[in-house]
Amino acid sequence: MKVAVIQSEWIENIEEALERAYRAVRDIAQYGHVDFVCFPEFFLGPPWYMPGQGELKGVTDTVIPGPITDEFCELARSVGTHIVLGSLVENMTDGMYRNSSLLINPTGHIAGNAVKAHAFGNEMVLCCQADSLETFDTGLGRIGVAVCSDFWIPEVIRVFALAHARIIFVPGGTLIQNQSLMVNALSTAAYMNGVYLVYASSVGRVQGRRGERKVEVRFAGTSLVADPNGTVIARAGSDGTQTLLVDLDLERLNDCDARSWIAQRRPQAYQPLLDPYVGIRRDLTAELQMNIGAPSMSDTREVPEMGGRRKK
Amino acid sequence: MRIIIPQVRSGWDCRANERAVIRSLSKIRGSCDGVVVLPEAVFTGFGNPEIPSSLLSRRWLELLSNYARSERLYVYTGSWPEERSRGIRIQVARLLGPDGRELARVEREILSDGSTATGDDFPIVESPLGSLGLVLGPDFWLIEPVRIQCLKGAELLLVSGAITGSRRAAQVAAIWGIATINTVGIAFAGSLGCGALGGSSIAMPEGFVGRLEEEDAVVEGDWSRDTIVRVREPDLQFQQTMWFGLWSRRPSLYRTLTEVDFSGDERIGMQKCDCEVEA
Repeated sequence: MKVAVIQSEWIENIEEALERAYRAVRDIAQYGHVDFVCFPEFFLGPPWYMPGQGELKGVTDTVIPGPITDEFCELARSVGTHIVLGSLVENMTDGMYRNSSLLINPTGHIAGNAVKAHAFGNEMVLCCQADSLETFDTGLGRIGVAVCSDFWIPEVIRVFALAHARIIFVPGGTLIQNQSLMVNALSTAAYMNGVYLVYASSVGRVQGRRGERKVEVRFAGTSLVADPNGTVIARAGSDGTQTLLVDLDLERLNDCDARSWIAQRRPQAYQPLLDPYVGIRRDLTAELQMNIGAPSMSDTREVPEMGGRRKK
Repeated sequence: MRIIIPQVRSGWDCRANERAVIRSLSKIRGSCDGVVVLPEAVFTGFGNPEIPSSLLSRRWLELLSNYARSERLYVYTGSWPEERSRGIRIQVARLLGPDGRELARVEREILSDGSTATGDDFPIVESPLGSLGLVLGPDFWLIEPVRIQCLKGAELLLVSGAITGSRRAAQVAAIWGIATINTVGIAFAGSLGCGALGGSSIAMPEGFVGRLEEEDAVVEGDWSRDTIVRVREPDLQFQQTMWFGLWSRRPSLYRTLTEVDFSGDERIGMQKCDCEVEA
């Protein structure tokens, strides 16, 4: 099985960014058949709700399905590949947003939508989240999609692995300050769960304010593929666009340490996983809401229960 | 405070192992306050199914109690096999306080192949060192047991374990990875010899503080619970993000992890792709 990981770069001209993404898929086709193409989170550019990006409202967000996704569906059909469409800020047209990662199949249809389930930053206030963790069956086996911060909850990759997902795609963005530990955490997750982990990240930076404070958010690429033995078998650089073309040897899924560990699980003893972390003493959504001066989605719609967040 | 891990090469000769442990402990006398963590089956040799005499067991416990008391250290004893009623054999690891008394223990059944089983309890002990999670054997390599201890507040995991997987480098690297994804400190004492590959390590979320390969040696590192307290506190500027994995969980999404007969199909909401593709 062959996968392509597109490491994209945030540029000011969104039309150009879109054209680059289309071109990346077309270019990949020159190298023979590719089974999956994976884009990073926010591959079109930063979402409007990142610090200092308010002018991008209506620019880097889109309706789904819509003209942008239609074009990718056509590309998937013409090239004959699955596309894990990184993530797009999905405009729900009712004032709400979602961080959505589409799976487009080789017949050019949207086969699934993995919505980020663990909101990060201002998403805690402005986006609604998935109410389940879903895997997707493809003609090439079952896959999972963990959208960026979903990866940082180890339960997510475990849920996918136990559901027999063999490849888990993580469209994300490597914060520069987390770069080294991110690489090790990704390979650890692949190793302990016995899966392939395909991580696509972008390169770019934004500046703005959070509350009273100036902040800079810098994404440092480092897209990679880790195998079920915990080996990083391909890795991109941290300061530019790059495409990784990687062959996955699915036999490795059958000969990895995680198989014996998973066989020793005692799920009847794991009920405490359903409890929140005991250290939670703050309402982060409320604090963020005050910081950005925005109404919370939880004021208008019921949201799933979660640690540190308000429940309507 | 210090974390001290004597990585002692041991075979199946209990008396030789005992001498090696004494030799190793003598090297660290007078170091300072903190905790000493010994590897799994350090007195009997990794994978040795033989139950040592009760005389030997008592002597080892007395040795370590005296050591804890004389050095004013916490000691996580590693483990040795004991027999319970109806011939059930278990590995037992004890946490001793600086007064030499037992504060808590972990017991794990010994399987027919001599290996240590996983368990149903995930103990935590409050101490001046912080909240200590006690781990024995392969529980460490499963996602769930360690996660449960961290959700309950464990700040430092004391692990008497072994590196035995076929991918040693990945398994050692995972010690740090486990520290990162759970925002926790880890003192991993790895057995050495009889198929166990050492790898004793002290890891914090940001990286290794110290680690050993396959040498008979001691690894030490500084420990302050304040470090973990700090990185677990939410930073809403999002410059520091390691708190996220504990605070942003949505437990209702993880129910399948607790289901005994979970087969991995529709119950987590699988979506079927409507096409079949030639591989």
